[in-house]
Amino acid sequence: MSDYKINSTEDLKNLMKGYFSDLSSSKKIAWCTSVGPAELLRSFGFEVYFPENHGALLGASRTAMDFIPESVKLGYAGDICSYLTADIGSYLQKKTPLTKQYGMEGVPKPDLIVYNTNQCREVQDWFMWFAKEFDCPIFGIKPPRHLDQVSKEDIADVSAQFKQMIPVCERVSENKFDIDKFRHTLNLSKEATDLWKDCLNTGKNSPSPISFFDGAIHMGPIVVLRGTEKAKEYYQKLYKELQKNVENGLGFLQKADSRVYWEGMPIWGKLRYFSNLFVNNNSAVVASTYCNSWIFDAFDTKDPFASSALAYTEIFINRSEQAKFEILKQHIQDFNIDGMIFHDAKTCFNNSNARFGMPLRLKEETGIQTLVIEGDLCDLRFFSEGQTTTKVETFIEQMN
Amino acid sequence: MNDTIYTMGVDVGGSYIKCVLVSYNKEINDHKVLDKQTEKIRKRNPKIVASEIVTDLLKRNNLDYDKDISYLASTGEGEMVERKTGHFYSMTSHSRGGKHFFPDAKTVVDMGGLYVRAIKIDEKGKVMDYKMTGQCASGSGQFIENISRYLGLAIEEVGQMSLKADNPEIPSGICAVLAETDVINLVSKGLSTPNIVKGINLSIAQRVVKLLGALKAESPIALVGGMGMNEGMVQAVEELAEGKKNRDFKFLSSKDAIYSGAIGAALWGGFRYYKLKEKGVTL
Repeated sequence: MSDYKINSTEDLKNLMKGYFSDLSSSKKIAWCTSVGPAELLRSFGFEVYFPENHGALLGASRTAMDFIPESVKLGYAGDICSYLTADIGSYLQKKTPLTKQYGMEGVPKPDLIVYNTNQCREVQDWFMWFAKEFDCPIFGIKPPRHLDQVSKEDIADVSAQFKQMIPVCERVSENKFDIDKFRHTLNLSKEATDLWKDCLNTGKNSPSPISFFDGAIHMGPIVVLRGTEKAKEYYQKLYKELQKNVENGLGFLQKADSRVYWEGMPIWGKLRYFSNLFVNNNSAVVASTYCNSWIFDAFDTKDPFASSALAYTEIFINRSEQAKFEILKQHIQDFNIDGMIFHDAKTCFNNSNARFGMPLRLKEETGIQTLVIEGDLCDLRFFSEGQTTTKVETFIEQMN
Repeated sequence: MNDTIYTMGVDVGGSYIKCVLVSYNKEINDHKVLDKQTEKIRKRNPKIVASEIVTDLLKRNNLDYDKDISYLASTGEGEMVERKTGHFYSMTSHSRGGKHFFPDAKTVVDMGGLYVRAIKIDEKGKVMDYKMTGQCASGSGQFIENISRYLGLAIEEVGQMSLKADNPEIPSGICAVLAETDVINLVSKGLSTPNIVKGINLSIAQRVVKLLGALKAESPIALVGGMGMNEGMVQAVEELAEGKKNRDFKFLSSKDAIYSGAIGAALWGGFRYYKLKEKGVTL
């Protein structure tokens, strides 16, 4: 086993610790979906908390299964979004991994809740439950969905919705909207997301200095600290380290027999298992849709509303099957991919792209191997390790 | 010049451990299965059971592991097998094992205790593509074992019993627990045991035929794995495949089908032994 490691991970731990510590400050807190308008919220001085990040934490700590039944008691089905069911269940049981990891008693109490259904309608149900629980104002952005291309009309629609947020944010934050602050925050976000893209693009090298499984950890700041100096500084450091490793010919797998792309959600509680499984079989998982979903090329301070409306509407998950197909084809080419894993997440059909024939179509058109594995982001009852190992081993063998 | 070597294959499955002793001669491209043994794992430690079978086979054939065995290959869940020289992926082993039984086979269907896998292979037995049943026991050999226990049948009786059916009824093919409930209902309705057993075989066969369709399988098709020995299952698969339009599948089966993984592993072991020898690697 290689002793390769990414040294910036230590900084990442401190950064995330600082982020959660700030959530305990006396500042106003806004809850936001992970691909929601965080920059606009930060420009009003809110600290921003992301329930999806908590969902991922419940998955990674493998505690989700303890909490999901609690939501089922409320009438939620066991096969809807396990972020939702685990997160609400965790709240009801008054238990969270945040206590052990960051010394927090529970999730921070919201002053405002904002969601964007650009990923799924589930976030609306999820966030509304909490809005009622906390008797808290809530604002929803509902962009057009499943788009081939994002049109001017679509951008105008979403921009207008962002602007409608302003009076709500002003009232709750007690701060007036300041376009320069918004521009400044968006600029920081743009710089961080460009650096994150650079980090992920080092995966185009062989050996690659970053795997999908590393990316799933190092993406923390681009999700929760978008629009801050801290996130930008972190990715400057991470990129410098990864680039240096590229120059020195160092990577997590020195001589990979195959290069793999991960499509769909991570299986949070099994990242290490998958990482070891691929490396032990000499296969490098170098890129993913998931980590790439926090690259926002469109951010532009010249037109902060329209550009962030475009950036948050053109995300992969909000695109049509055909648009997704073209994006995946491009990634296959850019990252020199031999095979693609499709994670069919049993509680997240929105972020599972294996059910309408995509794997077969991609295989036929590009010649790469494709494999569908069944699992879930949080609920490991949907995952069979033995069956998955057999499938992945054969998949790797087919690529060689 | 006698270039014959001895290799062994150990296939650790969900229900049974299968072991074979093979003589392998690369020069004349020949091999022979000399001996074989199967043990049900029950509640025992698979590592110990596997070790005991290997020892039994060696003893029975007057062979010494260190002196006589050139390669001990494990497969399936057999990473833990003691004294193994190397491990092979289970689909790779079953494909090669399928070729051992039926050299002309273009598709191998491994019907095991945990799941069914349809594998398209090339002329050397290499895996080209595959499809596998999902996460439900109603498509597995273990399910048949559970039902046979409920019906008071020995697992060996299931195949013959199924052949006697005249009006089978198919239970749920989506969930093993629902299917068991269905079977209880069928028993209380007075349906004969052969008709129940045939219905179970048909429900699994439906999945097999679906996999073959999705794989765009080519004939002839070797049915291997534990369920490949069940004549009733083979008949059910043949019947359903016949019923499909534009399918001209020819199915092949063997009474030793359960050993396909172990045989395949032993043969790949022999192949790898010579490859490494060519490179000057001593095992």
